[in-house]
Amino acid sequence: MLGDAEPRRHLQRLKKPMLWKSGASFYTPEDYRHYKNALKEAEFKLKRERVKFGWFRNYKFVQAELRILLEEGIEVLRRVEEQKAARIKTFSGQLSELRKRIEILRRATLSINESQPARKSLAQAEVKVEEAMLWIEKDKFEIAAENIARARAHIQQAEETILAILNRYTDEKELEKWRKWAEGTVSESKKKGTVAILVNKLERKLTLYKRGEPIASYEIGLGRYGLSDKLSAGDDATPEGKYQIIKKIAKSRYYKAILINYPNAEDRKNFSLAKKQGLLPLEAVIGGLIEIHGGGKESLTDGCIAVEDEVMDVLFRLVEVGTPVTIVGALSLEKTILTDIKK
Amino acid sequence: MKGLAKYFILVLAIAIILTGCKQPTQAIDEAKAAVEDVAKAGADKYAVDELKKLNDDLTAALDEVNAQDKKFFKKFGTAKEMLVKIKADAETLKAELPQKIETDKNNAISLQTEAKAAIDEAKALLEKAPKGKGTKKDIEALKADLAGVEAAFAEIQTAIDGQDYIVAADKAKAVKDKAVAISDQVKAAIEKVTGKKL
Repeated sequence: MLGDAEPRRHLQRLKKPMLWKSGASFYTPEDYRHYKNALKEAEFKLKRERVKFGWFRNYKFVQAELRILLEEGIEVLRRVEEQKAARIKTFSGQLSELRKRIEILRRATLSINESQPARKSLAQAEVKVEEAMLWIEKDKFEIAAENIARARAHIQQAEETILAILNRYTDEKELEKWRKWAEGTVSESKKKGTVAILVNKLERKLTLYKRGEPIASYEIGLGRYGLSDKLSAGDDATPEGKYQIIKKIAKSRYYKAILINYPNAEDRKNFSLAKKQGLLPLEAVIGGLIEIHGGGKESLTDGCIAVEDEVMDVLFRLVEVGTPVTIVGALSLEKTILTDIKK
Repeated sequence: MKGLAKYFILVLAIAIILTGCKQPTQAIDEAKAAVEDVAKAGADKYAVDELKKLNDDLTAALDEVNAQDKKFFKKFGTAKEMLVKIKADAETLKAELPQKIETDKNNAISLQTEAKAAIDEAKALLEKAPKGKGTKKDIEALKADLAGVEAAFAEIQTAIDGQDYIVAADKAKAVKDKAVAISDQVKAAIEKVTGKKL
């Protein structure tokens, strides 16, 4: 004859609300229902034994049943935890992807100097990602999914803003024009055995050529709307075209500076045309004083090209008045921020 | 006369069996109403787990009623006990809810205040940041970031107004974290230019 302490202990363990709290009714509803019914049955059998006279009580069978049930409960709990872990893994993967995307786009905004509204959308997306993470920690996956969806929408918005700015860089005609300018500058440097500067705005790179060969390359800073072609004064855009150095300024507000002959004839023509077409206000005037100057590659200029002060020292030593400076939008789209975004 | 008495006893016995084995409809209705009531009182937002348990228990009790209903000799005693317990649990939960809601509300408001303070600090730092060529770009970008955080901040009040205090609290936490991150970046940008640690 067995005492009833043992089955009671089993029952206590089985009745702990672990399964229910773990979300078994959501993750493994069938298993959970089966387990609950079996538990009810076992409780009934236990009750039936208890009401018998002491001599006739026999807990052997119900005890065995409860042991099996306990194993079953543990197995259900394991399956629940497994499913939960799989879900968390999926969500974590999604969040990690979103964070990467935000980072790429954030870099792009810095590269194209786009502050509003893409950055704003990205910040909103980041907050949503953070919120989603908090809900995942609480196992509230539906709310987490809602936040992820909203983060995606904000990212999409930022992406559209950035791509709208970069659209002209995908125009094959523009790319062809820029390539011709660059080739012309390099071949002239080769032919004349002189130094030339080539600025690639999308790559944010200034390359120094000597006798047609690249001898050094430096990172640059541009205007707030540096990726646009300069049309008028105050548009904070960096001009595109074939220019020459007209002055070397040894003491400038930004360390040293090299002044180029912007606006050239082509720029004047474009300005007049834009004004005639009503693309510019009547009071608009053509800009000027476009320089390559120091101050650092992280600078946000009014349209000039900024480099580190030590780079200015190198340039100052190697260039002369008359040295060609060709500024292009891009030469190819490979390895640019555009390919990163479109990945 | 004797035959009539037999029939009478038989009818009486059937009547007793049938009435004694009737579904506990009143207990079912009361338990259901109590669960609905507590859900309406806010348990669906502030005591989600507890409400889920009540609903699970209710389903189990109704399963028991159905199981007994299929039997010839019906015993609704266990089901009735379950239903009475569900009703009592629901009423207890309902009584505890206002305190729970109040706690969550205070927590959300307190986190909202912290988030606002973090935004204000970032704003103040951005205002005093030197806007030289070396920092202008970073500062402009961080200002736009803060605009995004402020847009997200507005959602906290909407959640509070909708009495979604737990949602509001999480929003506030996320907003605060992002605002603090912006402050840190502004400090780094200032340090880059001034060389002084803030």
